[in-house]
Amino acid sequence: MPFIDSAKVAYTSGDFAKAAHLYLRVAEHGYESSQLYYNIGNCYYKQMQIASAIYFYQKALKLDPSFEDAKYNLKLAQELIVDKIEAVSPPFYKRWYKSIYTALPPNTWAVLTVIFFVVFIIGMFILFSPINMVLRRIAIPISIFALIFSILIFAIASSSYNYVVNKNLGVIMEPTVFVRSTPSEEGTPLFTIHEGLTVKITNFIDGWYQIRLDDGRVGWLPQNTLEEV
Amino acid sequence: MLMKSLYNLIFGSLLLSTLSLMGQNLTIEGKAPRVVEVGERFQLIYVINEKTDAPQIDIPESLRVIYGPSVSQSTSMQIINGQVSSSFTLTYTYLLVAEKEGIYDIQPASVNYKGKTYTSNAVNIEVVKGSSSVTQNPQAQQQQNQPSARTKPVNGEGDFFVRVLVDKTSVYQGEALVATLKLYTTLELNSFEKVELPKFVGFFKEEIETTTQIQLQRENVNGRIYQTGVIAKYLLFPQRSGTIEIDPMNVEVIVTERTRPIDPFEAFFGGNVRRYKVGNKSPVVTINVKPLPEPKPTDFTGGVGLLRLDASVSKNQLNVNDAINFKIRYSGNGNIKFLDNPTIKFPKEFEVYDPKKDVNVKITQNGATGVILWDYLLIPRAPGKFSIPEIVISYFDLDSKTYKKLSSGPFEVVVEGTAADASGYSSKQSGFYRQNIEDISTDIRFIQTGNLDLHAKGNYFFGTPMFWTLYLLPLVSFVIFWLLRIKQIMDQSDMVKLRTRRASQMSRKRLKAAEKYVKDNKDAQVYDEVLRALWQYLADKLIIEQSRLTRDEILQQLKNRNIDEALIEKVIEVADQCEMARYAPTAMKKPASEVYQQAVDLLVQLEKALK
Repeated sequence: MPFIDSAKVAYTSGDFAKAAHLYLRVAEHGYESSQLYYNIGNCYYKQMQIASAIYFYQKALKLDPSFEDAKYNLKLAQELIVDKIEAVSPPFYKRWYKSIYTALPPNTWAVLTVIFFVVFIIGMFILFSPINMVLRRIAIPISIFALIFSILIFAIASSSYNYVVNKNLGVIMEPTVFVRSTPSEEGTPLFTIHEGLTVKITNFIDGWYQIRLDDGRVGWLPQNTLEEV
Repeated sequence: MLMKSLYNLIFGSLLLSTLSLMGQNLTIEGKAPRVVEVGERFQLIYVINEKTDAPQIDIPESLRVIYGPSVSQSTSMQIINGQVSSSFTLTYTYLLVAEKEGIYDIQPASVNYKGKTYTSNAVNIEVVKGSSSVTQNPQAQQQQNQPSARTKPVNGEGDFFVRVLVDKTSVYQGEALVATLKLYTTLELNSFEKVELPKFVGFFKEEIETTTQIQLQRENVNGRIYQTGVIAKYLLFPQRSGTIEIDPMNVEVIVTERTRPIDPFEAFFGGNVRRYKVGNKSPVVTINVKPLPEPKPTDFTGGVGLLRLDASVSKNQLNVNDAINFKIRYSGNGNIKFLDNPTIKFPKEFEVYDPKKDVNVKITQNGATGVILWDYLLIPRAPGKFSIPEIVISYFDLDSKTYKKLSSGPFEVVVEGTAADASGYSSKQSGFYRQNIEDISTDIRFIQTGNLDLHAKGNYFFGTPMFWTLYLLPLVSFVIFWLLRIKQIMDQSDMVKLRTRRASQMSRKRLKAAEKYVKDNKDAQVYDEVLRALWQYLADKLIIEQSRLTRDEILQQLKNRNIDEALIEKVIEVADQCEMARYAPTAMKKPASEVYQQAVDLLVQLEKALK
């Protein structure tokens, strides 16, 4: 990709606006990857456009939740935003489950469940073939485990896929946003949040998002104030 | 400072008349009042620091020389810290009278001294129409002017006033302006009663050095000649933008006035001298301070004017624990005194001592000019190649009205020696000069390089037809395999049933045939039939292919099926008897009927055993 090389040169020489432009053109060509989004995030960070930087780091982490550099840079960027939120951590089993299904990208999980299913089927072939008794005896436990793993990983792959495909996160792009109690301008303003904050999207009605903050606050805000990740 | 100059104004300077020491260059200086009235007498003075003849001067016709030159000379001597310095002055004074209005240039006067010609400065004189107040003397004027001087109330309104004069009323924040505190008078000053100077709130102020003595100069203000004196001069640097007012200056003085003697006795003593107080308050001066244009560069130091930056290291190569000097020098014209200190990130391995700051700034009419020098002493405590980063500052350039960037460096310093040398420095305390890694600053990590693992957007495998196909394909193929396998097993078990059933039928048939031969006494056929019945039966029962049908194979299969040894013995016995009878009929002792009966019993037993 010629764009990638010239973007790297521009970034290294300090022309971050140009680098961002080139990387975005790669994305416009219909390509994506966690590393591409991470690089775009870096370009925005260097131009001190923190909200955009956070948005792209979140996109990178969505594609590859175990991306170490993106986690580090996101943490630095989040130290520069206005809102400080005391996160209420979810129940331990949810955290564990999330850490499991985000440990690998969804495609890897999908391939794994297929592989285990194929192993199970091979085991069954052996079991029902008129061949050596020793092989058949080994085939029984292997195919039982393969079947269990295949079912478990199917569930994980499904969660992982839903996590990546559903746009359940949003980054606030407006300097100050009033969060209201109902999805309309008449709703009582509950609190304000600021540029760069990451929120969970829990619902969408008529151009209004219902959002939930990490500390448990819930409210509605207009569609154009955030970018879905 | 101020009071001293006031003092000198009143009492004049002290002169020492002593003989002079000679030997400098010759200077010649011409002096005259700047403004005179028509008909007024005034002095034109040439001051020379060597003994010479009168200078040659060229005086315009409209300025008539009434008298002169008169010569006077003086020598002054100063002793400062035991150093004697002296000066000699020779003064030629001409008394002139102006006859016509206009501006006149008196060309430089020249004087010959030891074969060389020296020239003075040109003198410029403005002649204005005569007015009322200054009555220096000509008789004609005296008669005209005196009545008007009488009628005018001497309250200081027009005869005495003070002003704060600024050279600019619109400046940028940080740009210097000159404020001159000046008094104007037509009266004879006796002493200062009260002097309240402006506070200059909103400015940094620097006093401009003026002569210690306030010199009164004549000046034309709206056609009237005033004696003017500069009380003080300041260089002002606005600290904030917006409109800043300079509050008024308030001065009160005692003046003396000679009244016209009324009684002759008084006149004899030189007339009556009246003293009274006059005061004036200067008007408020408004300065419009423009803010510096946005956006300001991040490395902006607050400097406004014209700056230069120089930095240097004393050595580029040195040994561990040796000292080097690092100097940063700001020079130029502007608010140089109020610049922020430079912040330099020296390498961690350098021990840095507080810098020595050397300020050498001259405050003049043209602004503050000079040099600020920071001198850092650095001692590297570890060997290696180090770099003192580039020093970058920005300032606002007043000529181009833009920010300009100055930079110097970076400076490479090679420190030689080994870590052991470095440890030697602190060996007495800890043995090793070691330190923790400290963050100089934090920044985001670098971008990912390479091909970035790009793939088409939204390409997910889970839930696609391909995904389900990969599940279904092995499953379906297994089901097909399984069905085929079931059918095969079914077929096999059918064959077994068939053959076993056939086994009984066939053997029964053969035994019936044998029975018939027994009755007919055809012994040979009996043995043959019995033997074939037995083998056929066992082959079908044990499902042995016709090709592998041998006596050993059958016996082996029987043993595999855990058939009773005795029964196997019987099988062998019957088979042996039959074979023996077939190939050696004479050796046969038992009758055929008995063998037949034995075979029937055996088959019944085998049928039970092989169920």
